[in-house]
Amino acid sequence: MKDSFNPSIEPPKKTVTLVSSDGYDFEVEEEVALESQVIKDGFEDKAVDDREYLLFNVHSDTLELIIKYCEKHVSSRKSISAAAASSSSSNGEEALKEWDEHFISVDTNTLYDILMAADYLNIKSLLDLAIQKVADTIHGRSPEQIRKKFNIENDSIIDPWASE
Amino acid sequence: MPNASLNGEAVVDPSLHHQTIQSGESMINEDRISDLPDGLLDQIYSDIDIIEAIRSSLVSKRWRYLWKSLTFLNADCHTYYHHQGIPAAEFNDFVNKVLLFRDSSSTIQRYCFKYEKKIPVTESVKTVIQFTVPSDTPVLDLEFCSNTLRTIHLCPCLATSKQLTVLKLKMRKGSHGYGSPIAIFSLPESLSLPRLKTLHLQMLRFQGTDFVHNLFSSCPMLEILTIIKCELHKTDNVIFSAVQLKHLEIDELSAYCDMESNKKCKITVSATNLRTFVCRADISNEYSLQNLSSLVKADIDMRFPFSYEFEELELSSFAA
Repeated sequence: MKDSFNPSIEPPKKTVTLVSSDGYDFEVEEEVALESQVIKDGFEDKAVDDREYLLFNVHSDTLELIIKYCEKHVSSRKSISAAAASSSSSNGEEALKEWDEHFISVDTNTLYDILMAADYLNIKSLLDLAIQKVADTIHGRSPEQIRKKFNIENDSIIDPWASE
Repeated sequence: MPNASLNGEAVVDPSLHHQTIQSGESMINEDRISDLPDGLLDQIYSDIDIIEAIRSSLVSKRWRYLWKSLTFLNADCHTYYHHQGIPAAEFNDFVNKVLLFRDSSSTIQRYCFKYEKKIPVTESVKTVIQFTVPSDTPVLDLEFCSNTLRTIHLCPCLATSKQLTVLKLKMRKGSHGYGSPIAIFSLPESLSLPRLKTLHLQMLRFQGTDFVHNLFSSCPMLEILTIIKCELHKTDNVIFSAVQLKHLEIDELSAYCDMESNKKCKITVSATNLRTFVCRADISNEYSLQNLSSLVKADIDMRFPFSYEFEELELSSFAA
């Protein structure tokens, strides 16, 4: 009974290689990569030693952020479900929300990169987070303020708000 | 490090409409939000009011006609009033124009409409207000605010919509309101919503013995039913019985057989596939729970009504 289960011995973590558009390799744990629905689809059909993905549309700077996000969400999910299983109180979800809020507080260019990458990789929670951030920026702002915020050039004909 | 040994199958197919994301070296003062595909801009505007979307059409040419093809439409008269300084009475007219001038080739996926119209309380006046609601929309979330009792009728095209999957019909009291229903909801005889999965009814009054029965038989796919602060009149036995029902929430439902004599009715819940049952009520109605073999979560809160005198209290267990 004693040696039938030893929690300290874990199978080696399976990894996947993600290659950014500018040619950098990122080795990440399988479950982290599977946060992307695009990678998840058809994942099982691929040979184990062939788990390498070239992400044409994601620059290494952005990919680093995306991986950071996925790693955080995978580990948070584990600790939240562990806390639920032992019925101990945890503020895991609250803490994760706060972490998300901090994560997405970036300049508009980075926000755009995250948004496009989350859409391309189909990571729903991250896409929703980025979309909400852009929506919050637009909400309650005048056309002139929106232009300023996103560096949009005014190519329309007349703008009654511009002279305000 | 660049990787040379790439297998063609290992490449995640780039979608055609995406442009290559180049980060890092991009200029600080670059407008990139305007490069977002329409689908993402549509999602960005999914919770923003239509008045704001129309206002932002002045941002640039890219944004000019964006509001026309938005598929999530939110129209709240408070936003309208706030921005335009025009009485809320004109709001309905405005929304009708939006629906008229928008690009009809993009189907509205979700339509949220909040309306408040203050009418002087004159008993003999019967006001009929017609709201235009897009009939081929899968999700409808309608909220009306009123201080007087009204009747809500569904127009035939809405009552027989083959697209509708979610219908939320909420009444809300104006500033002087208290917690009783403020609209009579009458089901049209022709009611047939074959794809309706979620129904939310709030502060409404239903009449007749067969209301609940008719509801379930007209909506064979109904899985989630939420009834908040509603009244059922002229019935002595209400039976929530539907095989397909998975989630039932009854919050402060008052069911009367006869309003005058205050005779209450019996409420029976019998649904073999019901997974969650939430019930907050006072004990003046008798509840009977049967055939709840799939029940996972039950949240039942029974209270004594104000100034209620009870003769006998019997607690009996039920097997879930």
